[in-house]
Amino acid sequence: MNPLLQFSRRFLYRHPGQLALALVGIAAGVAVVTGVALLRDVLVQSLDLAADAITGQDSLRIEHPAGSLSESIYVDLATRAGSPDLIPVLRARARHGNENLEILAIDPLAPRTGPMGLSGPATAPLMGTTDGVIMSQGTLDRLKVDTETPLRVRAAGRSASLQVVAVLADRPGLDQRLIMDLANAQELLDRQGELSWIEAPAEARDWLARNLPDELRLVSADQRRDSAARLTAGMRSNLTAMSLLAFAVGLFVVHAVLAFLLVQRRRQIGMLRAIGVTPGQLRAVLAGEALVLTGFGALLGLALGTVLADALLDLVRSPVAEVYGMVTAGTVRPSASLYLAIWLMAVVLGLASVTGILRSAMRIAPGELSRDSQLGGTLSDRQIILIATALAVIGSVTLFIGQDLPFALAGLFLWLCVAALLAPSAGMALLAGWQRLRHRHLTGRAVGMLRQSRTRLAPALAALSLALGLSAGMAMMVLGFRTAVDDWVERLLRADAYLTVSAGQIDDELVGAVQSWPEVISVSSARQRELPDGNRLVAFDLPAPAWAGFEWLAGNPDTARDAFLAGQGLLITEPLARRKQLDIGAILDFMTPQGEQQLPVVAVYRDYGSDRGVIAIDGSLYRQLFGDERRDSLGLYLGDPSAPLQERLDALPVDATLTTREQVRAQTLAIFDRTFRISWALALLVGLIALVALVSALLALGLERGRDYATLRALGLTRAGLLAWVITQTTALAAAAAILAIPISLGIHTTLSLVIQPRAFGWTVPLTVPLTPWLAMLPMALAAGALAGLYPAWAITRQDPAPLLRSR
Amino acid sequence: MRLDLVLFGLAVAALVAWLSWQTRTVEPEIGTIGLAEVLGDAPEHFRRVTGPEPLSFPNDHGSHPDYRSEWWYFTGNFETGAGQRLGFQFTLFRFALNQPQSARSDWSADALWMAHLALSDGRSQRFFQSERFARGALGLAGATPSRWWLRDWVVTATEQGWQLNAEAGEFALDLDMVQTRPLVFQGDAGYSRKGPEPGNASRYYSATRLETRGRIRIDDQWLDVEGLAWLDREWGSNQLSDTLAGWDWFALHLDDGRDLMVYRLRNHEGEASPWSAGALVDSDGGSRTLRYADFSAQPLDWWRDPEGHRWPLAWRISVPGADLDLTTRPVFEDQLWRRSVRYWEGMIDVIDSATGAVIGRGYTELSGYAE
Repeated sequence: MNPLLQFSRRFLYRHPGQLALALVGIAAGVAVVTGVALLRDVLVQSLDLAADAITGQDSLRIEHPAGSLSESIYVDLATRAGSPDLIPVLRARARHGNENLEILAIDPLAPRTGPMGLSGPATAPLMGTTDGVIMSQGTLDRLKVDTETPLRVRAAGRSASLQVVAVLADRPGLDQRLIMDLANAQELLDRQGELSWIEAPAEARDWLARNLPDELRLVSADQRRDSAARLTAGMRSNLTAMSLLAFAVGLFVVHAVLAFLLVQRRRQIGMLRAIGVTPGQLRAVLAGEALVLTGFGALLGLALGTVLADALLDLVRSPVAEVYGMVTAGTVRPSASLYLAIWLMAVVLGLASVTGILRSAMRIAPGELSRDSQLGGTLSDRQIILIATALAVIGSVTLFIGQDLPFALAGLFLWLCVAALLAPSAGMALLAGWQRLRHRHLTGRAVGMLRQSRTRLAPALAALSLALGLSAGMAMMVLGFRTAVDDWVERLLRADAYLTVSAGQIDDELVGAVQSWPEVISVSSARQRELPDGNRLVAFDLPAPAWAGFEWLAGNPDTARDAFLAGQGLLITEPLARRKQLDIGAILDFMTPQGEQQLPVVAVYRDYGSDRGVIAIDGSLYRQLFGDERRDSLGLYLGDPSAPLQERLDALPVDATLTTREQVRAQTLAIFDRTFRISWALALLVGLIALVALVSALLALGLERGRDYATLRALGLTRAGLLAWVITQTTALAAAAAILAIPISLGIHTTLSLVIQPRAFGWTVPLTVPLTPWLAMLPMALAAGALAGLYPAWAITRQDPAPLLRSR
Repeated sequence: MRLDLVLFGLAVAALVAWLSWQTRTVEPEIGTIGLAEVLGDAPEHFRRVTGPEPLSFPNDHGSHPDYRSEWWYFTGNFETGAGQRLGFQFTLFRFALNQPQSARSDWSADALWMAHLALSDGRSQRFFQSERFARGALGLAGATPSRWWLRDWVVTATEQGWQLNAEAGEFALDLDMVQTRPLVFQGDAGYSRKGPEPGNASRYYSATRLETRGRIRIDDQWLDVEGLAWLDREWGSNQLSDTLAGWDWFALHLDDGRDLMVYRLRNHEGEASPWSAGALVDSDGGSRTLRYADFSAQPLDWWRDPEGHRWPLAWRISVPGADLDLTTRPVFEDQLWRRSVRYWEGMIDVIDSATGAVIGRGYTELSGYAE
């Protein structure tokens, strides 16, 4: 074997701990990036995979602008000459326990090869029963059901018992979906005569262009993917930003570890140079090491990330269903190209992060035997300030340029770079302050020693400050947002109790019956309907007290109310107003069964219920335009809020449930909390990687400062004393990082709340400064710092001081 | 090579292998149906064919929903003006659901319909096939006395016969078939027994010689064609007994004007069942039923399909009472159905075994060899 390779290999063998740290650092960073990237794909492709599973790739979808279409349109198209294989689909959401499911009802005989490979008479079980469903093995396992027992689901506001008649091999598009026969589903959902859309194979485009009636439109797979992408843009951007930060922190680890490995070999490199090894040969060996480390670490990271993605998917599954009405796949679907892209990015950035170290290694003079001079960064304070200022200016401009989310994220990222650049100097200044305060004390001296290793510690300090700042900033945003949502719900819920039905429906008759109860002063009602453009239309019947529930952001409340009640105007939510840039007086077009309608916007109100936006319309006008007498829920305004109503409920001809205002509020906040579980998880991951960075930097420091530690031992510091010395140093570093994290987190919180949220979701969040994250972060950082010091301290105290003292 | 490097290499290989396994795509498996199973046990409530009954036309051209299964089966051999040989098959199958659907929905169906459309091109030796399913609801498929259809594949009764229009992407058929002979009632006046049990029988009649003109599209090219087609109509509920593995069916147009149909029912050992039968139609349209003892059919050559199943494509068929000793050979080998049902259905030449001269054309159907 080449002696240089031997040199490299033997060295890595002697330092398995550092090797492991480097691998953990890069693997963890890559794992988070991979996990989030796979998750993003799931969010975008979720809608499409089902179509792929049923119709084949790149299928087309025939839709009616009103949202649903008559089955007679299908029959007409399917029996025309030259008709392609069209598949009628009726879609509905369903729940089994806490699992969100989607019923996809099709004619199992329509596709050429049968649904997902079941063909012709083999689909007879689906048609041969009245309640048969087919699902994938994965879904069956997740729901913890079997083919023997009935599957209880809630769909279309009622409970139903279904029978699993066949189980299909896992395909991503089938996850969380129940395939039903159209006839059975139309009865179950009470949607006779109706289809949600018609699927057509990609090659049918020309025929459809010739044959499709004018009122129908053709939506391509790309358009569907775009709309899913738009729908989830906010969530995906946030996830991406978090994953890139995790990766950046992972790079700090690689940088720290490789620098450390180099420090240890300074003497050897000096000797190699003395015996004639050229800088080019050395560079090749060291770059080769970095390549193998990052390459292998990235491979590990890809594998870990794939496993992580499934765990993250569990966290987003219910919020995605609750917030976006989308059923996500049960497992992620990695592609070779995605893996390759992430691997290459990791290797290239990993190598780039160590170019500085490589350059300094090349500067080691032949025969140079010292190993305690500094290596690594060469930027002066002045240069740092210049670069930071430039980045801050560009970042600020980017942040406020245009209204696009990517600009805001880029701006935030640049500002985080500024924070990363300034954190080491600021941290050192803090440590200097401490040293001045306690200069006679041992802790002051321990901290003083840190300040001499600024270059070594800079990456760790930057990584830790950023990670802590990010976690705290995220936490502040989430808590602030939670308070805002809580206030909003509190204000919105004016009724004393809300009535929903699980079987039967709320129609005029039922509303009349409830209104006649002596306990009830007045009744409000709401009916939601999804419009074809993805907006939600909500029809409200609002008695006078309900109007206080709106927080008006634009428009005159009194005139708006009059216009709304007279059916001459619409109310819209803030996200819709922002997304479509609608002001008061703007005319809104929307499709109804009676054709397109136009009404002016008369007011904009605060709403955190849907980032797609909601259009509110007067209930009577809605019923007149849509011919839909049903309501989803009733709000009951009671004379005595504690009046017992159970008997009256029992007397109703439907299965009705009353939910109190408090229960609704609790449910809303529970959904909110589920939505942000993923953010907490990612913040935690970033924090953990930052700790790895801290440990590796301290190890490097321990070795680099070996002589100093040996001197301390020679001067009489015991092993226990040295242990305390090192732990003091790590704790002090963590404390400095935590203090720096306070302004960083405030900046992140402000940017997320005031810039990112409105752009990602369309709503503004009143800025509050919750202190809990800071109060929690400080002790946690100190404890983590102390813990992170244990291993380096043990490693340092284990060294025999005598050879170190003799080394010069 | 050092052990550590080997271990490192193995770890990298394992990771790469695991990651590639993650990127695998799951292709759906297409389920296949055993026709013999579909034609076997039917629930009690379906009517059985247990004896001869008078048939009445045109009503009996339409569907018989009281029976479990039924089909409308066209095959034919054509030639273009340039001498290009072409063969076609169009079959409409109806399989009644064990229980008609009862949901309050117009999609509630009483039957599944399946249609097979195939074209054999003798020149390029290409076999085109297309399969479709539909439910018996909303007019998506059905059969009335004057119209048999599955979506836009339609057979319409004309004054003298039937018109077929079917379009299947890379090929299409537009055929006008004229019935030149009276219907032939198979077995005992259309009561065709297939086994010993009561109900192991079907109602079976044929229009054996349909003079056909029309056009056929292959890819973008329309070809004018002329030739002879054959229609088989059959329905029943429990027609095949469990002891049968499949059948070999031959419909031959002889140049001397006679039409010969024989089918050889086969048990699981591959031997002919005594319920095998056939019919011989004279050139004046008179016909007689052939029983098991009246004919013999022996495989001569076997063809192995790419999946390894063996199919007897060449046969020696003799009807001593009619002085017929025939050899049949496929125009080309691969006329194999590879959709939800796997069977061989293709155009053949009929050869005089004694002289080796080609004396007719026809169609062969072989089932039960790929299960």
